[in-house]
Amino acid sequence: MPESYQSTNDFTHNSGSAQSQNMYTSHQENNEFNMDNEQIATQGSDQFSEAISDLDSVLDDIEASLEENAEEYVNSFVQKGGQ
Amino acid sequence: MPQLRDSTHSLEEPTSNELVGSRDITGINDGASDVNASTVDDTDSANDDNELSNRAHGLPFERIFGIETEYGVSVTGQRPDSDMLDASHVASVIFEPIVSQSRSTNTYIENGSRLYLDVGAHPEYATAEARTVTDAVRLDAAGENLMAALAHQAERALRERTGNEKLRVHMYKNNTDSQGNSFGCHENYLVRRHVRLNDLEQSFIPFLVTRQIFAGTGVIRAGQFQISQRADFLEDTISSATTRARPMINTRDEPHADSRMYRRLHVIVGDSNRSQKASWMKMMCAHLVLCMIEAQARGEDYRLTRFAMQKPGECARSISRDTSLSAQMTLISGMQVTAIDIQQGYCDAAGRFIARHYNDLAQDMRNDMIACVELWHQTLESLRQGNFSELSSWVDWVAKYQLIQSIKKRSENTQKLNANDATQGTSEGDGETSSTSSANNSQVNKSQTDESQTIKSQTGKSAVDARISQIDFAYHDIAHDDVIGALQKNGKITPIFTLTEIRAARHNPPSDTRAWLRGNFIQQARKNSVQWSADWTSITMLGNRERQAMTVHLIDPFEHSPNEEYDEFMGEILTSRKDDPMLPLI
Repeated sequence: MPESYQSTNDFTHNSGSAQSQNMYTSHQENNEFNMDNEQIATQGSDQFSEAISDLDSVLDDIEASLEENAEEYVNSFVQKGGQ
Repeated sequence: MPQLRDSTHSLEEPTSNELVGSRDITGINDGASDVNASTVDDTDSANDDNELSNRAHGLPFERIFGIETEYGVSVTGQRPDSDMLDASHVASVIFEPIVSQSRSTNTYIENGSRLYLDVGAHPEYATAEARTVTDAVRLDAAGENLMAALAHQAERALRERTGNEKLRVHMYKNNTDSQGNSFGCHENYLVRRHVRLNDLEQSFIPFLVTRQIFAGTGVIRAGQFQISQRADFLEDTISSATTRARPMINTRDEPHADSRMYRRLHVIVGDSNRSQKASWMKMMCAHLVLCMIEAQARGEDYRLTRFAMQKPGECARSISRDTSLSAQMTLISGMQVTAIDIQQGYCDAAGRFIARHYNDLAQDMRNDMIACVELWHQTLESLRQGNFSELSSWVDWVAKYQLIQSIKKRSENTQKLNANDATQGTSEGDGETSSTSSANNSQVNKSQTDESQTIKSQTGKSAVDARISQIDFAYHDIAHDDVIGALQKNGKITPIFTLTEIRAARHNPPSDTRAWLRGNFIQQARKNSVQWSADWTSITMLGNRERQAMTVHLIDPFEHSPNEEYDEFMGEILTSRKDDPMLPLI
């Protein structure tokens, strides 16, 4: 894997980051799958604690505008399947 | 049956699920002549096809993209036994402005896209042909914006007619309703004809199956959070003769000046993304994989067939059920790998592809591809590390998952607080509390918190679960967009396009595909009050007392320049006698 990647967020203007050709010719060839089996963090609440408190203001805003009757909201959404 | 329906819809969902390899070279795409792949001699001389593909439009790896989205509708706030509105009724009210304008629930709009009411009361929007993924995603966002406007208009109309100001019309950009019915977000890609269908199956499907790890929109099903809304509804095989099965991809011939050049690949496995960046990545990565498959068919070595899966449908489902992303799948080769491993393999190969073809690619496409591969690498690394805060800004399933976890955490915290307050209160009064009485008190307190936690509605759902289920759907509600609205307002999710860009995209077709010829025609026809019809491959001025109907065929989706025939045709519009006055579309 190449050493550095610059993240490019501005997709609209197609600016991209003009990486040179070398980056792509020199990066490590992965002939086999990555078999390191790095342990993926499981869904413990610790992993999210920071992100969760972050969302407090989002939840406040949602609570303020979302319909009160959650069950009615969900149950009234019935369609037949599409094609 | 809409009056102006034409049978040659080349960019829409085929009516049959058969895999197509028709050898019809007249350039007319007739659904009836589609032939099952197994009976087609797919061994055109590879060299001939390579030649043709290479000559196609001069620029290698150019592609036409399209996104079709089926929306769901609902209405809340009805008075019981009084307002009797269901999805069908609401959908027809939503389409009233369209029907009054075009006399059909099936029409094209000024940006060249198609707008229609699908079976099962699904409003559907199919983007005009786009030459870049960015254009396709922008057109899709324009469709979302238009659908929301139509829903608001229907809400006003229904409130007025029923006198019920509490009615709310909802429009969902998602893939499932509350009863487990599924509907789709379909992608269209023009693929060069020299690619063998078998290669497509082996090399492309594993990518599609594992793509959900960044493209999935998440859903709660049977009490469990799943990564992809669509995974549960897919069959294993690429092709099927029965109408009940839903193959992940199927193909149709694309009418073309020379129909040996392209096939249209129709992908139904994707989720309907709210995140524009997720839509972009979903299609851009697919584009790269298809480029490699096309190059592979010409002899370049990417070894994409090594990812081939025995049971892709089963793999899709097991990946969907595992937010730890550690589930292993067995490939046909016998290797055991995770979804991240497979995506990494495609991503690395894409990097090699760009390096190899660096000088062949048009600059803007190259820049897009480079940006895509960079983000792809970063994303896979974030997924490996479980770095979800990074991903939550654009991966729909992660954003939704975090919201749900936050709600649960909040609810737990509230209960803990209540429990603490209660025990605090009882011990304040007593200097010393006997162990017995405090034990009794905490028993009482515990049962109080249990009660609030388990306050169940008639259906047995706790308040928290009901809220979570509501948010699961509200995330996709473009008409009452409270969830995404709150996320955007707090800077948690960033769109690619501004509202100004999106509004402009509602009225302006891409200038570099056949959509321009169609969109321009529609604009002028409206302006000059001329009645018209259109489909993907033709535009028609309807006949009146003074003249016959006139049709121009637009066979090549890449062709955007007016020719003499088109110019004459447009000239006719300007000099034509005005037909019935038209109301402006919303």
